[in-house]
Amino acid sequence: MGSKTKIVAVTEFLTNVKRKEFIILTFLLPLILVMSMIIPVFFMQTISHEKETMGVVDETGIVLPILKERYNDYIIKDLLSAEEARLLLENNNISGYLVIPSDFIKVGKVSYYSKVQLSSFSSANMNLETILSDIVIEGLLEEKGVSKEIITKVKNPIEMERITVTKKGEEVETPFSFVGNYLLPLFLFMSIMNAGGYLLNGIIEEKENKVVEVLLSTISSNELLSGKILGLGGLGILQVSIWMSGIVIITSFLKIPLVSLEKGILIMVFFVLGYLFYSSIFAIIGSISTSTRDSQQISALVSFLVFIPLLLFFGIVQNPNMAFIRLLGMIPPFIPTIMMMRILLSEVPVADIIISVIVLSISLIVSVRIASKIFKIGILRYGTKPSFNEVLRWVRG
Amino acid sequence: MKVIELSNVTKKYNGRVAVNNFSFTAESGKIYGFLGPNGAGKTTTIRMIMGIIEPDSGSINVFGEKLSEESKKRIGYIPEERGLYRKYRVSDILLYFGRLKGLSLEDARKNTEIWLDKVGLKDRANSKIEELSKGMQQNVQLVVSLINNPDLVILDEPFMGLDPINTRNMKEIIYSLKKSGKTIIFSTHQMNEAERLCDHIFLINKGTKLIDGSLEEIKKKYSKNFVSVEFRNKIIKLEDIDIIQNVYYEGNKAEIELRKNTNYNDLLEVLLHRGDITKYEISESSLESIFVEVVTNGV
Repeated sequence: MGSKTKIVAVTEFLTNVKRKEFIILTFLLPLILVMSMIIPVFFMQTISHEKETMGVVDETGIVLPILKERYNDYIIKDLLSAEEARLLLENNNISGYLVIPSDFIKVGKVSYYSKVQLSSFSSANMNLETILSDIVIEGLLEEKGVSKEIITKVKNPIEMERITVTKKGEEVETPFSFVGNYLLPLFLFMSIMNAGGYLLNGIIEEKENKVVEVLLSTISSNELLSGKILGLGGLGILQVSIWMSGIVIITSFLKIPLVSLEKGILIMVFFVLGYLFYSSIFAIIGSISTSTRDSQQISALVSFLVFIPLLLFFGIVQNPNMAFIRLLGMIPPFIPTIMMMRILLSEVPVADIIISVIVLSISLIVSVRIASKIFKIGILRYGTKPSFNEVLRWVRG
Repeated sequence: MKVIELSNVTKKYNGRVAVNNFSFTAESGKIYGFLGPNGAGKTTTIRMIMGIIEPDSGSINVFGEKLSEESKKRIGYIPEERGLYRKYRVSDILLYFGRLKGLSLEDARKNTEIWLDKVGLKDRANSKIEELSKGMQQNVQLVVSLINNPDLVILDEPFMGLDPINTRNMKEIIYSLKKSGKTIIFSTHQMNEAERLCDHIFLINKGTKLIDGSLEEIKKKYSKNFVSVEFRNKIIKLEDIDIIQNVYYEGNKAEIELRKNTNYNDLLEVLLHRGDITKYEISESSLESIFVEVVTNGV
């Protein structure tokens, strides 16, 4: 690295690392994401459990004691008739009531009345349905003289363990893998876009402040662009390192297996190549834009293009190595995100990795060359936006 | 010593000639002025000297060689389109550019202090650029170009946007640079400033050099004999006097252009018979009038 490139890189790094936006994104955003997952669970488990009362009119005489014993989502209140229950509901003394007819064990039909609809997806409802099903199963089988062991087996007939087979042995899938597999590429993607955004804004700012020409009298456009990309790349690596450290601490605390070193290195390769590729694209956008508003419109389109693979996450989860996903993993703008997700989710064939790295590297060389040519002329362009043909002429040199 | 040497330099933008076959030489310790209207090709020429844009043909040598990283460090430059990072502190900007111009961190710090003192901004070292007045920002811009004590200083429209006090300060700095043996090249369309400052002038129009010489040489070659006359009463027409080329009236005053190789005393003698003269003043053509004449009539 030339000394001037180094000076630009260090200055870009030190200037941007102190920015409020960087600090907020680095420390606050992961916290918000984690909290957005924890808070609903906490809410479901605590706030929703705050002593609401459910009335039960049990005409069988056997369901109520079992419900009182097993169902913890509501306080169970024993009621004598449906009329009494309706009155209590109307007076808001109970939040709902269950009418269990005398033939419940045989027919399996039960009614729940409430002012607010009980969501069939809520844990309170699912728990209630499970307990009532169990009561019916137990009742019917006991009547037939089936043993308690078999009844228990009937209630929970299978237990499936999901295991990902890796080269180094077996890796048991845990709930965290899902979160990690989605969050990690999302974080890396955000870091790339963030650093790319700083590059874009930096170029526009230099154009708007008209400081470019002073810079170009002391440093070549290539040195300036390289310095910016390297400095902001360092910023991206710092950001990812902070996030990774957090993930390592959390996973070791929860004793959850982390990605292997091999996968980690491959992910970082795609992260770095992806960052460099997108930086050159952002440099092009910055060079041809005449104002921040101008550049934001174009960069929003690019960001959306890059974001597409994340929208395909559930498809990728189902089959990370299907032909369509493999093909997407070889199209330059999608390569970094698709490959990071595929590597996390499966054992990607070596050939796919090599092809993706080669395609991305060639695209990178081409995009950096184009960016350098456009940057050289574009950054001195004030006022009017160049036409497409004009930009083509710059590229042809 | 030749500081800059341009030979037959041409630059076109989309087929339009910006600079046409331009040649000139600048020697050390002198002030050179590029004069011409907007769009004359001054900025393009300066940008080519600075290596910001490449000429289509011709050659440019700076300090006897093609512009190199080393020679760039010996040049201080204020571009026409100038500005600074608005959110940066003054001292941070000066350190950044000082380092980019090859100074060690220690020297960059030392020079920052010296120059800020010189331009009266020592107490604003920690201010952000956006907190400074326009004149102060211009001074910081000037310090950016001089921070590494360059041998050649190129200023593109240095007086643009300056108030009278800052214009005077800028002129003083240009003089002091000359005194310390620097070569200064500046472009301007303000002819009066150039006339006062420059040792050597290039008049440029539509990318072509029209006049090249010292102020004395140019005046000798292109200046016309002008006489301002004021009569006590209204002037009777003077066109019939055969030694007069042109005459412009304004009340009881007249601006008279004499034919070449005529004598001021001959005119005075004739005019004394035309009325009571209260003022008779011989004046030379200003650089501006020479320029207008050359551009419009190609004289």
